Amino acid sequence: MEQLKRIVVLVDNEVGVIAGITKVLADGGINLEALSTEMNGDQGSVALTTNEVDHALALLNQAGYKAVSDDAVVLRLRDEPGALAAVADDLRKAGVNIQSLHILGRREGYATVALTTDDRERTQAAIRSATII
Amino acid sequence: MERGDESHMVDMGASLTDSEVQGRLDRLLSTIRSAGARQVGYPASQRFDYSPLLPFMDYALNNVGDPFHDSNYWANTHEFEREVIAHFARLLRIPPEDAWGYVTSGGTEGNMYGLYLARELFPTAMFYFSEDTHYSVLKNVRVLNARYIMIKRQENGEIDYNDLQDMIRVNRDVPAVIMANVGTTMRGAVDDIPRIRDILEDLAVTSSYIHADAALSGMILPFVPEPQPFGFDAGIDSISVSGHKLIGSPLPCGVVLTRRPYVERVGRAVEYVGVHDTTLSGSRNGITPLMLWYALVRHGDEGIRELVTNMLDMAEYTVGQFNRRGIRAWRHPNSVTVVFPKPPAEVFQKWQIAPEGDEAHIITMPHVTREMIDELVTDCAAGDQG
Repeated sequence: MEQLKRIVVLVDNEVGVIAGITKVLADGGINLEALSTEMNGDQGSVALTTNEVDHALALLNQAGYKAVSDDAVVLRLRDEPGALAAVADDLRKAGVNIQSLHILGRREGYATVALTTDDRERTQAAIRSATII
Repeated sequence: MERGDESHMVDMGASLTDSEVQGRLDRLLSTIRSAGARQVGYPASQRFDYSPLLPFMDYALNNVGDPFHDSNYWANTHEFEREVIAHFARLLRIPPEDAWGYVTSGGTEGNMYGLYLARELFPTAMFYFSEDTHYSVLKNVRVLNARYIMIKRQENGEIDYNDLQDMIRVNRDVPAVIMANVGTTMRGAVDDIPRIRDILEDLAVTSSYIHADAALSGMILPFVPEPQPFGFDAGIDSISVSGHKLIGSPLPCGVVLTRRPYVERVGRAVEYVGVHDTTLSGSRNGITPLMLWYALVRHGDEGIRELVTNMLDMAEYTVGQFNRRGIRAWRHPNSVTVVFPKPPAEVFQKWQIAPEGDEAHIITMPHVTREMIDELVTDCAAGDQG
């Protein structure tokens, strides 16, 4: 059995979004241990915890959701010149190496970014230029 | 037949009668024929005739290995493949004697090869590419286990040069590998390669590599009067071009070209394991090099130029027809990709169009006619009003 892990799903802030996600997972036989939401304007994120993370990720992505596992740190930052470089600079100063930086979406003046590094805990501590989702 | 409709599936282990086999093939052929008439969103020309090459289908051709090395397998088309590479070298502005390349299975393998070469030359490099880059590049960098940073795109689809500069500045202590787009998939945008080179020089990055994904535009820009910089003369180190897109081919194919010294350096490392094959695939089909050779010599430069001119004229016609109906459509200079607002669902049921977000695009490949455009624009306009 897989370890308990968190998945972050990026969603539009609209009626029925949580019901849609939970239905996809329930239809796939996934048990949820925890679920929380955070909305900012017309966008938001749903964080859920499960011990079947690979299966859940596959189901959500097949259903058209943008879902990333806890291996990545998901950030929300202003979509403006230099904002991503500021994050990279935070990590550089902390001696953390970026493995991948992936833009998940850009809307309403904000960008959502998935980041993997060689040290997840130090990454979370080092980020000062963005909000960790 | 709908995808997932398995009513026609047979037990592959059972022997079928001739009529059962023919019936199944006839149904498939009919589906494929009808699909072609509504295909306007994907860059695959459907105008070609390779019937003189049919006799070669009776032989087990295999272009295994480096086309510039002798092969122990004699039923190959390496000689024709080398001519194709030399021809593309001229089109992509590098002396043929300085170029190395091979015929790939398509654009993705070409991109993979370019990025593989870059990773071999600069193992600690950070890879940069814009968010409008073809999805396969993400797959490629993950296969290569390369570190990468996705850079924002501008509204027009080009990479955000300021963002790229900022990111390279933060990581200037490691080599920079940039995947530049010469015609993005969705918007046909061409990244400004000289500007990228300037960024690297301004930041005094000592080791860098630019690979160009020129899947479709690599066959267009050599034939227009005022192309955006796209070739080796603009400072690229390798380039991937699709063969089946503009020229048209029943089998997907493409070419990858790079500077010969790079491959020689990587080739030495490959020889340590006793393999004299600098390509990615090992066994490679010998038919597609022959098809590319045949199409290129049959068209000639003037034939391709005429093809490109007609496609660009059709793209301009398409923009005009949309705009006349009050639907905002646009395209980049020298691009056959026409971007317009995503039409209603019923239009997608009738036409093969590629959507992304709030937009969609048409690519005016040689088989796309004015009649098709008129009908499509009418459908989109009707949907708008509905």
